[in-house]
Amino acid sequence: MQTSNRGFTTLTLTILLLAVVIVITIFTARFKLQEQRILRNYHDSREALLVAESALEQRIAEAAVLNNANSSTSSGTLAACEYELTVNAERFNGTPRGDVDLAAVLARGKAAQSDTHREVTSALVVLPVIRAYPDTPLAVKGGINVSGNFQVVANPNGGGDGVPLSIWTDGIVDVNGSGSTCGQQEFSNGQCSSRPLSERGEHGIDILDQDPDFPADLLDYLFGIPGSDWQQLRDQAAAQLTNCSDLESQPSGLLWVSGNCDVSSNTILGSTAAPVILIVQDGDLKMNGGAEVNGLVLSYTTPEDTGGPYDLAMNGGALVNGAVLANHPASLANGTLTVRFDGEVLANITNNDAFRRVSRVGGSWHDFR
Amino acid sequence: MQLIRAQRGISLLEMLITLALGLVLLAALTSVFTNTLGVNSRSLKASQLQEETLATLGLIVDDLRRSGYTADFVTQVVDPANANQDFRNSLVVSEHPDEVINSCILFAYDADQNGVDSGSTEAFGYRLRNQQVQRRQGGALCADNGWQGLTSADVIVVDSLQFTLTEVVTGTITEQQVQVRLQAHLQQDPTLSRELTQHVVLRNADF
Repeated sequence: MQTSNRGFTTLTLTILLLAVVIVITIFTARFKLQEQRILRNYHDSREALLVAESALEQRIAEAAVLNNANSSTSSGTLAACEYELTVNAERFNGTPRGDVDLAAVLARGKAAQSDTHREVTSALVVLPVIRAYPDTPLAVKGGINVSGNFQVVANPNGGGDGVPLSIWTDGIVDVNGSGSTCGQQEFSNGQCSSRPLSERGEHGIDILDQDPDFPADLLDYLFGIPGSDWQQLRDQAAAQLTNCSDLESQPSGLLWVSGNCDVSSNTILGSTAAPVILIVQDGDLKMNGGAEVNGLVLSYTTPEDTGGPYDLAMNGGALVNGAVLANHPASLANGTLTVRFDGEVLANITNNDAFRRVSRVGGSWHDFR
Repeated sequence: MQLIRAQRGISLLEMLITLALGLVLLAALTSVFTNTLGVNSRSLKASQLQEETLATLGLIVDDLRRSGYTADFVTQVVDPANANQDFRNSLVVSEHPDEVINSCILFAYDADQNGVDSGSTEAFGYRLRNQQVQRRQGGALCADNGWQGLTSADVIVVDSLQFTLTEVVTGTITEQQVQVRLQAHLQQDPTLSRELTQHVVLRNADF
């Protein structure tokens, strides 16, 4: 009898020990499982946030390339995680920065393995490069000396309702050649010289000279960038050039030329629908016979430049549809020059996507509702 | 005769060998068992420390990222002259006089999304105090009392919490970042410690 019960103690002890080990293992497993669940939730939340943020950044980058942020909804997949994007754009007219579009971009990202999702929102603003287009076809700082033959076609409402404005300067307008300023209707009818607003020796109300209110900093007035920071504007240009030999192949938008710009004969730059802003920095601007620019031409001398004075020469039949501006005294010499104020061309300079830039709105990022 | 032989039992030598083998097995089993227990307990402690530090850092980082947000951002763009500047430059890195340098951060954001600074309910901050991470309450400043403990001193001991404000320039893009460094050890077992560092890009810095 004794012999058959021989292993009892060992068996009991072993079973007891095994039971304790099993209990501890189960307890640990449960704890680890719970911990894994917590970590997985944490990981999913991170993943969803990362996807939402990536989608948001991608949309912002797209907007920056397209120069617009129109209302839209889209969705996609990023590293096996789904995301949704909603852009809500609103137009605000007449702000200190011109007509701006403000867009709230909402990105919603979902974790790959669960329903965990996170939302982030950030706002974009689409600002025109130019704050407001000039009211006058010709604005020059420091006075204008005109010889040769010229025609300036006034902005019919540049000086207020029904008050035409053709030349604006803080200096003196000295007309030596056979030049005249006239209204749009007269120009269209070919009567600019016969029915002028102003001509040699006769300054009409359309010439606003010796104006103390002429902006001291033309760059700041036009683009909201102080003259000393002109590089900022140059960096926004669609093309940066060192001469004007190949202007026609350039895209519509802001063209920045460092140095002399010689616009070849019969070059047609820009159109009413897709105008250009041509800025000639520290150089002579010469437009040759039959050359035509649709848009805004600015001859700009930088504050640190010592190479001036620079010329603004327009030869035989050159035409600017829009406006010509200079921040230095200008001699308009030679040939026949026509500067015609064109409201439609100038309006497109503020509204076209090519002249708008996307920026983030500081203080708009949030991930809660 | 055969029956008697079958019930004769084992010899002394056989019994001693069996006992010795049994004891060796038992000893081995016990050592494995205690080892498992030790590893288990250490693993549990390490997990606990990891979770506590991760959760604390996660909370700080998520909150810090919102710093400077205002629901009134539309006015900032459309009518900057009349926009309130309530949440601008609200971020301050400082410390409690009795703690190490840069161990306290204060900031604000528009939590109720009403566009104005509603005062203490929108004032946030984190600091190191008495080896504990604390969360700002009622607009208290770094040196003030009345902060709420975020970590439990019975569980983890925070050795260091540090906020470093940096500006990172990548090409033409400048980003403001805060580096948050958290170092802690387990109260029960000082040999178990964790150090975590995370960089937070301040998305609401002025662009």
